[in-house]
Amino acid sequence: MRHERVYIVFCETISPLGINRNTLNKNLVENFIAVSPIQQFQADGLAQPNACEVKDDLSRFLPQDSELWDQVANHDRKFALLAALIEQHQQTLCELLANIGAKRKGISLGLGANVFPMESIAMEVEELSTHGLYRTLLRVNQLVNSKINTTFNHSDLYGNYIQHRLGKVAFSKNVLTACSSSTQAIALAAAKIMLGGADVMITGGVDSILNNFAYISFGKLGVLTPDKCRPFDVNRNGAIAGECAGIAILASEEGVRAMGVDPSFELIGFGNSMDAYKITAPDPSGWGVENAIRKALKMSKISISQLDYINAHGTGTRSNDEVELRAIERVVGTANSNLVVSSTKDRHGHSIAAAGIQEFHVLLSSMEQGLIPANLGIQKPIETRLHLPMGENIGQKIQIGMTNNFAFGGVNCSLMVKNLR
Amino acid sequence: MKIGVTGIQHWEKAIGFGHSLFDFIHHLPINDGTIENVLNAYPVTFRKGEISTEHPFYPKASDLKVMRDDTIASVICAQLLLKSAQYGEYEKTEMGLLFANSNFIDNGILDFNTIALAIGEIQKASSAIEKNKSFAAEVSPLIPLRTLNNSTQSFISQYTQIKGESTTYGSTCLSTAHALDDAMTLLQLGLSSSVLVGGSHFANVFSFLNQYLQVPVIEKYAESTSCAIFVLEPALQAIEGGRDISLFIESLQFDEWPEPTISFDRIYCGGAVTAFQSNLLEAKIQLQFDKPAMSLFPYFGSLGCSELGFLLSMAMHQLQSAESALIYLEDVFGTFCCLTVKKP
Repeated sequence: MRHERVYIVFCETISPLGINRNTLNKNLVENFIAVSPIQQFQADGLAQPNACEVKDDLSRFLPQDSELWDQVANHDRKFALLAALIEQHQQTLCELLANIGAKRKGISLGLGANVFPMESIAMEVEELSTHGLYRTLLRVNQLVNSKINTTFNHSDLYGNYIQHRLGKVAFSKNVLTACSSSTQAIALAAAKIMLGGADVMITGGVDSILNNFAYISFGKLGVLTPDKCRPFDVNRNGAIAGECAGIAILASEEGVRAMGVDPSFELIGFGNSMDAYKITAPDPSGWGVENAIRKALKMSKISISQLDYINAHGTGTRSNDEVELRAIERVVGTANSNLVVSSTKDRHGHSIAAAGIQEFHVLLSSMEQGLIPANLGIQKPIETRLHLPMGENIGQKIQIGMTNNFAFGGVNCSLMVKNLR
Repeated sequence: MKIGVTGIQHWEKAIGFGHSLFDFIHHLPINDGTIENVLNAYPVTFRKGEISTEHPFYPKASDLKVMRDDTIASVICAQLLLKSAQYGEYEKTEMGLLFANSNFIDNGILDFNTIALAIGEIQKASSAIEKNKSFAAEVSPLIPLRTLNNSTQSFISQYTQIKGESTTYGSTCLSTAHALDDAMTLLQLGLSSSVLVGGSHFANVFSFLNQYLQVPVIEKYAESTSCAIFVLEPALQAIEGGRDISLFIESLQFDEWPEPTISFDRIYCGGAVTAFQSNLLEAKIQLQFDKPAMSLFPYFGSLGCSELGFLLSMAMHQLQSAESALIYLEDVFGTFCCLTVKKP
């Protein structure tokens, strides 16, 4: 079936690699690795004391229009990241969206688990019982006379806030598929445009597990590295936690005309699949990963030989990296010896539900600058036929690039981007 | 492309598995769930999950430690649905699974006594090292899995071997409509041959705490652990495959009423979490269409993300041939959708 083309007219993130595209571009070129001791909470004594954090003071970017938003941001780092992102780009975004009617635009966001601000609650609670906790939770929630929870934020808060700042849209969807949340949110936003159901989609996502409750829980799963993230290295021993908020604007040709922009990138395809295997591990055969990549290629109507670069999911965990490499090898076969594969999680960490928008932005930045980021964490690579660059970034134009994300629960998603320059 | 519903399954304590909601509805007592007086201030009715472990599709014991009751019900419903609708192995590879969940905090997290103990340890700790160590000792490694947003979708996939386009949405009742919307997009783009769409809800104090600020009046808040799943398929393909179509999906729009010239044989409404809200919704529909709307709130309270499936089930059984219905869903933030369906 013939479908509408999908253009990428805007993409910005706040991440450990930078608070906007300019800083991201610079940090990619300079091979900046954002790993450092955790500052957002006291991580003393933890087996994994390092992470990739946004070090900038977000309060200087937060909206000044209400004490309420400060309260929400104090309890919810994710909200603080998203609000700071929007505040920086509000004028640009409002100008872009001004000529698009509410009925022709929608929101599709990739989000993570509910916030549980354990430490804040611990400071407030007076009576250590179920009754005492209920009472504390209610009191903390009622700090302000508002319809916004200041502790347990509903997923809808984020989409509602975007509409509060950027104007009403026809619908606001929350995609909640762990590490592939925002990748899928982007894919489903593109699908809506492809079918003509919207002219413009605001997409992306936000996540941070850098609070003691989430971080310690994740640490006990055994997926976090005690020292350094080494995707595709034989001695890899885990992921490093990150955080990110990102927004991309996708548009149809009609949307592009109405916005009066000349986009540099087109989202030419995506592929989704489900492993149906285990909740914590990918199918070791790599069937699901391979299927997502093949579907993205098929929709894009390009052959594997045309693909220049894959920004891999590459978490640095034992199970993920091997499965992903073997799946890519099977798709590539002997058809493309020039294909380059790298993971950038060794630089910016794993931002869980926001990994998709984080790495989508890294891919666009790489395409814009004509560079392929090296795998900075590799000392001894997993044996593979694929080209895994190490040490130095490669100066090379990327005409067609792909980004992959895979999640607990077996959800796999690949996005394919074409450089129009 | 005409899209049809080829089957539906749902579960609620009063109905069980494999039964028609329509057959039960007139015999159901008005909400008889357990009333908990949260903080001696808010009387809240929770209808909890009590699923028979004897069911042949009951999940295996090793999975139960990370499953909520609504997940268990969803896994059983999905298997029943695929069996009754006669989808084969090949179809499952191309079948999508778009699922909505109301909240993601499980029984373990809701064991507030355990959390209280953990908090007590944090308060007693004299240093950050001590605090982190004692907290880590209390935290179960299962928590990230129990709170995994897409766990229900993942378990359905494991137990049914559905391997196509799969996504989880959250977290209000409207999320199932978002899943339905994307399912229709995927079918029309030819990316899925059929799609399992559904939602589940786990009734507990956490969802009350999560929503009570959005409720206009804390009055007769009620909710029910439940799930509802249905299959969507291009009508022509379903007919060729020998499957019956129960309903056609005519249109789905968000935050927009249907044209006033369109009339409906029946109207259903949902999304309320209190009796007050439910009455308000029914009055709104009466005013807009000069016709009464049926709500399931009096029987179950809020069904969360299961609500759309339950209302579709009512329409499926109540509509006569060629009759149409409007299903109106409104979430706690006032956002709404209008789904119109027609009996073949």
